[in-house]
Amino acid sequence: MSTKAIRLISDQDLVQQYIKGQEASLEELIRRHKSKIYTSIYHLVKDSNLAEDIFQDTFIKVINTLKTTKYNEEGKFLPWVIRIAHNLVIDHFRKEKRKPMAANVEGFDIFDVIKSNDESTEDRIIREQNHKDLRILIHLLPSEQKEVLIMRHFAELSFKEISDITGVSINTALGRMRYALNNLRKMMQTKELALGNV
Amino acid sequence: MMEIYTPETNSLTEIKPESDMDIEGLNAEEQSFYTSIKPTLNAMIEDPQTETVSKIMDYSKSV
Repeated sequence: MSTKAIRLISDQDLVQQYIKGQEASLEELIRRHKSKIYTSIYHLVKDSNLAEDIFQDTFIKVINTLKTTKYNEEGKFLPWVIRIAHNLVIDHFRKEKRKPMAANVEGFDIFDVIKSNDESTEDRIIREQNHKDLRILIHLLPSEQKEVLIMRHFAELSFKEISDITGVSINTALGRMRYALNNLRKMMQTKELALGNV
Repeated sequence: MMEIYTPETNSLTEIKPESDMDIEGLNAEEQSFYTSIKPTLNAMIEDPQTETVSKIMDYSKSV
């Protein structure tokens, strides 16, 4: 099958083809969703090596499930894989006996890193700095808020899908997204991070 | 959602409030802020290493 043809096939059909032994179907599913899945993992664990390991373990579980015909398709492929990845992230932090947010922010002072851009006249530098600053602010969010923001934005999951994965109601998931956005906005205002430059 | 009495038709017409909520439930202010940070969020998208994907494919072929 040509590359062009395989790209037109739905996730559901690719899964069925993979179950029947077509390896290229898995390759296409990974190509299609790898950024969403990896980015979601990476921003939860904030460690690229660990994210690579969890990404790999996620797909090993996916492969094992599909190849042993244990797969009961109850929903879309991506939310299913994100659920597996999410559980592996939780397992990791349980083993480490720490929460995701505690990973890299202990003793961290936002005032040390949010620097004034007054000295810079170069728009690109300001924009890059603001991107960097916003990244830091996102990682300062409480883990449950960051989790919803990541799943909503990077994995493009609906609040229903997020609520299924995280085990909370849709309203709670939505509320966490709202808190995340409002907290980010407040932090940006406090640090005088100009939205126009983001 | 609210109902407004319209004298012209002598009926109740259902209208939506001025779009203060999008389909996902964020209000206009939240949505506007979210839109403003989207470029930065998009700049945070990462990819796994090619080697990791190769390892996954190798594993798949081995089982």
